Amino acid sequence: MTISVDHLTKRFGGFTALDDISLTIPDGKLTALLGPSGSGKTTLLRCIAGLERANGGTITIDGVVSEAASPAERGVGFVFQHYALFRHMTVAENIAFGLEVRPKESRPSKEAISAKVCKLLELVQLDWASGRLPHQLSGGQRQRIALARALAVEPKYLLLDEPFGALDAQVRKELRRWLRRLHDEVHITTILVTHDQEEALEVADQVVVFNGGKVEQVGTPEDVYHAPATPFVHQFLGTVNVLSREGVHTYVRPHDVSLSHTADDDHPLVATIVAINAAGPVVRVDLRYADTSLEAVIPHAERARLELVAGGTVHIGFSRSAKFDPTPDYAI
Amino acid sequence: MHFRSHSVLPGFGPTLGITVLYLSLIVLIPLGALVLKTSELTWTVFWSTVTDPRVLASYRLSFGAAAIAALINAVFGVIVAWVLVRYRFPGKALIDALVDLPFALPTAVAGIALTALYAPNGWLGQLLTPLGIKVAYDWKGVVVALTFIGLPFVVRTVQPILEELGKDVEEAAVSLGANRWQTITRVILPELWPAILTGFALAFARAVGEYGSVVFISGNLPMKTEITPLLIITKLEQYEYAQATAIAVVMLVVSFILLLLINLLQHWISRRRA
Repeated sequence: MTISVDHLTKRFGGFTALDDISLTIPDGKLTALLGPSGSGKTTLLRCIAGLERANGGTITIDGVVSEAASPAERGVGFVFQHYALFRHMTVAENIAFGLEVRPKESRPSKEAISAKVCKLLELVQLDWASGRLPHQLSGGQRQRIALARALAVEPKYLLLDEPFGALDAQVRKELRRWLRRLHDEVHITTILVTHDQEEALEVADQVVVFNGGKVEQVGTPEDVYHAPATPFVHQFLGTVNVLSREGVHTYVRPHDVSLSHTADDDHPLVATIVAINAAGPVVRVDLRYADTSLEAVIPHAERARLELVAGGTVHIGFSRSAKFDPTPDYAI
Repeated sequence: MHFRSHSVLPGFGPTLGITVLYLSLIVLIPLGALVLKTSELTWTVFWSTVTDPRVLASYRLSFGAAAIAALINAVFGVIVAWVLVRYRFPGKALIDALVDLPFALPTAVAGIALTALYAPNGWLGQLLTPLGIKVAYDWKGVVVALTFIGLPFVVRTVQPILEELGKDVEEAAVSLGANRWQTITRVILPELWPAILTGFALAFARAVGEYGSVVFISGNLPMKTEITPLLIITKLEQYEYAQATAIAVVMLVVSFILLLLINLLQHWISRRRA
């Protein structure tokens, strides 16, 4: 029971959305496809769902090459960014839709369908909303209904296309934690498309970083955050300082910049303090080293101990950094 | 009575005033004059005028043909709107512009063109005559002319709704296992009903009052292919102004009731959605 993608290519006119992608989706896990808009992540998801036909390559689902299979035959449930609920149907009718449209032989009885709808409404914690129309619900509630509707047909795979993209930040945070808990309960193989790195790192078991129709890196959230394979991944996942010296680019995360009063082996460079922002859980220090602006993040206690003031100088070093040859062909 | 609720939107007073004045000048006063003129008749003359068999036959043709034409436009208008919204193909802009042409063309020109086409010796007429189908100088010809002039209404009312509906709702239906037919009947059409009804009502109203294009193709045979507007003109030509307005008033009342019913139906359908 796996999905594997082999040398998949998809073009829209002159634009290559997927450029020879190969990928395996682990069974029972939550995989995030992460990348900026236009990087091909949604296109890959739609190809897996059968909503889009690739120009080359194959998608194998459970050992079957699924070139001509309809979305329903692939056993995938799809959740859209803008919910795509049926506006004229109640919440219960929406959830029941996938069962109601089955041919008579395989359609469950009316009682079985309504029991199933009840169970799903409980699962998404909206049992009170059964008779409501979609427009009477909030965005987050609508997306939970869309999820219940997708789960009603008991798909083997759940595909989520930017499911929280249309929601405001607070709801988004709550919902993705809820999604993670839900996944731990039902263990359905899930692919989540997102451009929000925080979201991907928080909910996924495996993260696939996309850029320009290609896969940049596949790994656990920790892998891709702490050991980025490419400059792009480094820049896309969190803030990063880039120092250019002697033809080599050094990438340093702000919390890996350490500050000291004295010069030593760990703090070989001297930087000027441009500004200090202490409003928040950590202190952000803007530095200037040679011609480069740097950002350091330190605990409040550290700031007090070092008695940092704007305009002063400080010795800096990098507790962790990555070096790459300059590659001009990426951008954020 | 409080008509006015406090609102940050400015200009409720002036805009309502303008609306009432405008509608009075353009619609209410002329219609009032119509009723006033009719009231010159005694009840007996009024009744015999509006229930004259020839007039009754014309009501049947006018309302019947208008309803059939609006129905045809409702079906094909949805298909045209669908094609224009969902697909890209060469000549799409041309077809889109073509839809509005019946609005721009003088209706008499349309009538003459349709008559030339459907007359027994016309391009289409000579193909249909051997099959025993008579279109020109028959009620079917009236339907053809009324379909022509009503074409844009359904297309233009359904088009924006289809555009707004978006592809993802259909894709959702497909991914849940619905086949084409189920997607159309259970997902798309229910969303379109209010717009289709509006288009139908507009096409119907327009067709009931149509004169120019019909009089050429109908042949104006008494009891058979005379539309009500034609009878009104006939009365006018005989200087029977009050009788002419009497027929018009009946037509107006029937049209008003029908449109009201359609609006109620539409309201009832869209209430589920708000």
